Amino acid sequence: MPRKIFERLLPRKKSKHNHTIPKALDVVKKQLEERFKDSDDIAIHEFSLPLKLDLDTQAVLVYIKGMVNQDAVFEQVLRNLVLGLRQISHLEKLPQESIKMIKDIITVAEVSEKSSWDDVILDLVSGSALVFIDGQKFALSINVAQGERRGVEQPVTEAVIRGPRDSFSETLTINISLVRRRLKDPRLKVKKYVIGERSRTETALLYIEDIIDSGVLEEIKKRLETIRIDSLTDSGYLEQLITDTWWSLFNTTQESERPDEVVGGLLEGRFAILVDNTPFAILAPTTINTLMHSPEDYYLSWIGSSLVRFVRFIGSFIAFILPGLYIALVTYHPEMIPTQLALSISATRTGIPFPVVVEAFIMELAFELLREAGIRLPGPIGQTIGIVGGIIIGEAAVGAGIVSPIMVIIVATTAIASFLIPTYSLTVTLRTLRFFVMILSALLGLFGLVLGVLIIGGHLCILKSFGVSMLSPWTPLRISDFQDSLIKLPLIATKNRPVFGRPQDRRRLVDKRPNDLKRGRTE
Amino acid sequence: MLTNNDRITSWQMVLVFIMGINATGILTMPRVFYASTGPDGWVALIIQHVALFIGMAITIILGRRFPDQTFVEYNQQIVGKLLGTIITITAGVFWVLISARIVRVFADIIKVFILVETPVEVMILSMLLVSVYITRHGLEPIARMAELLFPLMVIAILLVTFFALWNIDKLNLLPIFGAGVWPSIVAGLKASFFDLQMKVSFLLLLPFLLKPRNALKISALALSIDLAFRVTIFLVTVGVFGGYVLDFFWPVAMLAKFVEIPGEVFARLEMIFLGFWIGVTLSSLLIHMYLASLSFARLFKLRESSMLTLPLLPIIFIISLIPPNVMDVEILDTIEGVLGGILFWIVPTILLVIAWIRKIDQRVGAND
Repeated sequence: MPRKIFERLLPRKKSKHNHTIPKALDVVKKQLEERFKDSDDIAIHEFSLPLKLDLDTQAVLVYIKGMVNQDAVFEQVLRNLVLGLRQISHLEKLPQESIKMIKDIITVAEVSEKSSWDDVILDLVSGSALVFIDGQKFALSINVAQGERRGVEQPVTEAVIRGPRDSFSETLTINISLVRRRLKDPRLKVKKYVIGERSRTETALLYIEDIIDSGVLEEIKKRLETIRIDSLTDSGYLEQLITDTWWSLFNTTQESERPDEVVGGLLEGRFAILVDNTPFAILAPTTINTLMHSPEDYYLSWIGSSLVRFVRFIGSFIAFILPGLYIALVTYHPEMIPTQLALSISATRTGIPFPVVVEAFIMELAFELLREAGIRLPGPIGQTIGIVGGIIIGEAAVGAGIVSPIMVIIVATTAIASFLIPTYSLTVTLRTLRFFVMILSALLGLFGLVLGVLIIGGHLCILKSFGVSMLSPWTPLRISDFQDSLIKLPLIATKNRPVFGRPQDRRRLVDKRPNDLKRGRTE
Repeated sequence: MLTNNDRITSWQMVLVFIMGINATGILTMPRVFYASTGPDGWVALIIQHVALFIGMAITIILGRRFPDQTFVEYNQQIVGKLLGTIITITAGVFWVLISARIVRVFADIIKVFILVETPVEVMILSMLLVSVYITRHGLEPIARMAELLFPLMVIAILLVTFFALWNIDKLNLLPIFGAGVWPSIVAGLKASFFDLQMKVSFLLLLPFLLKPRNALKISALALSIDLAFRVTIFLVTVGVFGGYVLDFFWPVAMLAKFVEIPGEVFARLEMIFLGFWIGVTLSSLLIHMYLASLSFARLFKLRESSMLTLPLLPIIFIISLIPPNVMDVEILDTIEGVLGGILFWIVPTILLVIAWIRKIDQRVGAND
């Protein structure tokens, strides 16, 4: 029932739009003007083609200003058509040959004949120039698309110290090329979909044919094909439409703006989706484990990155448990805190007018305010927010006796811990869950805290991302995937791909090094 | 392939068994066994587990005759519709009783050790709500939950037993066979009939295995791990407390209270132990609630058991509140023991004998 309503809201494909292009140029012009009435950014040039010695044929060039490369339109299309044709047109030509000659004389790579209005219009709004010729039942669509585009810049949300510094930008072709450049393998497939009835957004599904599991591939194709939406503004829209569980706080897909991370994902038998106008790719199937990986882990020595992984996992735990734990211990079970610590906590809390719960909520809220303000404000001012918030407000609040210093420590630790997680969406999730755990702890103490963690754990047990358990490799237990989870084994010990994505081709590395290198001892 | 197909791996099944039979019973186990056999309780434990293995073997042999069927379906084929329905309903009631008992006893423990002033109703209701949420999604999340919480249980047991090792008095565990061999054997057999009795039964769970031929190995592994846990806990608890074990209602929780971890990081270890044990208990509750809903769902020929989990909640809630105090919960325990003994020892044996005599066998090629 809801689907029916939804479909009714969307514009139907109207049958009158699907007719073919009429022969008479006057009719074409009339229809164009009717269609693009009140669209002042459309340019319609009339000119005459010297197809025959004595008689010029009327033609029309149509394009949208700003979507095309104006130079190319004039130099390579219009100039050639008018002047170049005139130089060679002293010969009498058959109509068929003259069309081929016209195509030859345009020095742009992509020229095609289109005979249905729908195709032609789609090309036009995507940035092609159209040439209609009097007496022909088709239009020449010349791809001279060029819009304003941002170049490849450094990643903003997933910065690394060691590793490539390029990130996706808003142009789909550039983004695809960033991936292709890293995987020069014909088995890397790029399948394009046009999603959005109005926005007509190009979307590319990337996968490596002989690694990805066929079931996953079929499933994602099915999900992409059933999307009916008016506009796909960002990959975030798509993410919500293809996710397994829309009601969950956890994303069952992963977003990334780093081409190297996408390539790593493709090599693990996952698929990536790139959406035009979005600098974030979607990767799936996803597990909590993969959300905790940063590409840098693979570039550094394995001991170092194992330690970092470990810290990250602990950090993610702290990020949603610590305030709740503090509330539970101080409010319900002060006897659990070692005596000395309990004494110093109670000493700092003397004179604080609020119970711990209220204090914790005030401070967590204050932190959320600061964080949001820091993001919204422009760069230079954003930094001052940190100073104002962190130093002045924090210091002043403690000085005024509204919050205890230990509460500030707790909130600050939580905040720092939550920024350890490499994936932004998971950070948001854990921040939200922190309040959930805080409320439960405030109501039921330690029991509430454990219950909260169990609910989250149970929820994750229920979640699946394209048939893969979100908690893989811990459950279902896959010992072989431990190579790349809490710890990161050395590269030469991870000869096979992880199995969570059910890759067809498991082998990743064949150790052909000389024996002394294998042993790790060279003279 | 991408839908919830509700088949679980052999290792998951092992953990479903271990987590299923370990809820609150293990916390009183040293007292119960010391009362009947003195320091020889570990012998009784071994005998109990050996007997349990035989019992499980019976259910597996029976179940193998009916691949892809649970005993809800096949007991009607063996003993007729009426008797079969009665058996199924009794089993369903049994699992409802167990769920009620687990959640009630545990709420009482929490009340004694962690939340002194909170009413037990709150604890019971919150545990039940969480388990309904997870149970609704079928066996797969439950098995995953068991897998996730098993390390927690191991850590909890190790934490308590390891730091108590230095307080063990050898004399508390001697003499071996001071009262002769027979009391231990009798106690063990009795315990295998009235306690544990394969509550988490292959009668229902066999068709959910990815590789059903592993069922015997699974039971053996599950029982040996469980035996190792129980013997360790029994030896350490009795070794530390000796005859005083009888004075404590929950000797294992008292042991956790007694133990101190060096380094002054954690005061009150029993809180941490019980905190971990909330997870263990929840896991057990999940499994029993699932078994209850599954047996009723199969009886009413519903495709999914999830429809029945929510209606079970108020029933379990009310039953768990019937006993006015901890001592009276023991009555629930006794009823449960007798019912369980009949259901999981006598009924499968009789079913197997009848099936064997009447040559009822659904295996492909069995009747050629």
